[in-house]
Amino acid sequence: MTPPMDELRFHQKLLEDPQVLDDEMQAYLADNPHKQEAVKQARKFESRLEEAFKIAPPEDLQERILLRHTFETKGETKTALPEKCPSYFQRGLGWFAAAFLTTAIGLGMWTQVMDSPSGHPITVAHTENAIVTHILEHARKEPELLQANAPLNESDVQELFKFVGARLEKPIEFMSFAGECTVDGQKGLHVVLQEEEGPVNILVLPTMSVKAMHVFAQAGFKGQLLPVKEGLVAIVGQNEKQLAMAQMHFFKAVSFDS
Amino acid sequence: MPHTQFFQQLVRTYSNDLFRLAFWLSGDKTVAEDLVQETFARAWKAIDRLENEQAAKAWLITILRRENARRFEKQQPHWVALDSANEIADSTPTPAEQLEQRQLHQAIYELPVEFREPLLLQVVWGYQGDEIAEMLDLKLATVNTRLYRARQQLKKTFEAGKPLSKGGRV
Repeated sequence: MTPPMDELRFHQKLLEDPQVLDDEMQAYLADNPHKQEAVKQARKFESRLEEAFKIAPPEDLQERILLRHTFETKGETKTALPEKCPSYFQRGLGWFAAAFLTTAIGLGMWTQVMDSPSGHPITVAHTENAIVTHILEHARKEPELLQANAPLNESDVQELFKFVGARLEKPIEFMSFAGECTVDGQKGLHVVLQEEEGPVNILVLPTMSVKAMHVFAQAGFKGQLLPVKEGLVAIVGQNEKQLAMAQMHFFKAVSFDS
Repeated sequence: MPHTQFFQQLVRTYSNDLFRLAFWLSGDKTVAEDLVQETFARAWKAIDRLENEQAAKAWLITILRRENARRFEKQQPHWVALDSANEIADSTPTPAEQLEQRQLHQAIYELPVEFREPLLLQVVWGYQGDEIAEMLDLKLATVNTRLYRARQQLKKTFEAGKPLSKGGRV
């Protein structure tokens, strides 16, 4: 036969779950009505605890999750890559990816202060946020950007690159979109490459700069900020392999000589 | 597409509480968002196997815990959370309430994760002791003990940190 509940056992059960008073506890309270105060205090503290745990998630968290989902599912349904792939695809990927990762690990991630055209210092984190927000906005408002093999007019594309101080030496492999964009009020060029595991966004921002290569991870994306001339190139994708491949394809075809 | 609609429903229903769980496990709101993103990415890949929302809820928590454990293996978490927790509080409390909330956040921060986790599952997610035991692969008695010790420690730490009342003595 179970012995009647004592005070110690009552307090123990109360702290296990203040919201639940089982039959045993009810019986104890009936015999010790002054212990109702302990229940009241425990539940008061529990309300505080609930409030303390209830931190607000970031604004647009749900939208970012759904947008990333849209981004990824469009990548799953992209058309097949051209049959004729250059041989470095098989040969070069290993060492290139290793070199990139080594550089990224060596440089690490740190907060830098950059200069904006207005002269006011802005942080790398601010630029990352602006870039990721821009990409998500594009995916939401212009999902055709993510479609493979969107038609591109060659002379228009040349002009776009000239506009950001770059020269397109030859067609960029797997490029499906190139267009003007505005990131955080600064004009730039937005390019989309259809890499093996999905689309990669590349932004050329001639009026924003970083002092050295910077890698970041945000909102489910992985990215790099690369200094070029007085500006920067941002490459944003899902994983390091994508970034390495996109970087290779982009810089094989684009130069930033003065 | 029913899968997409089901997925969207899961995101709308559970993303906020998943973020809270991730935040209190990882101590960093950026990491927490990444954990939630990764959790839903994995959920989408297995959406065919999810039968109903109730099963999906427990499954999402399991994925998130595993992702956090995987991340923990790579690096020890460092709490940058306290200021973040205070900055992004849901409501706009009075200064006295703000101070109390800061003290409680500090107390939660000081809880060992093996106490914090079952408490989160109970308070934030509303799970009962036996459900928590199954999710964490623990005995019910162990879960109950951890819940008891968590609250006991929180009350002690919180009470110890509170300002003295007028004319009070240490």
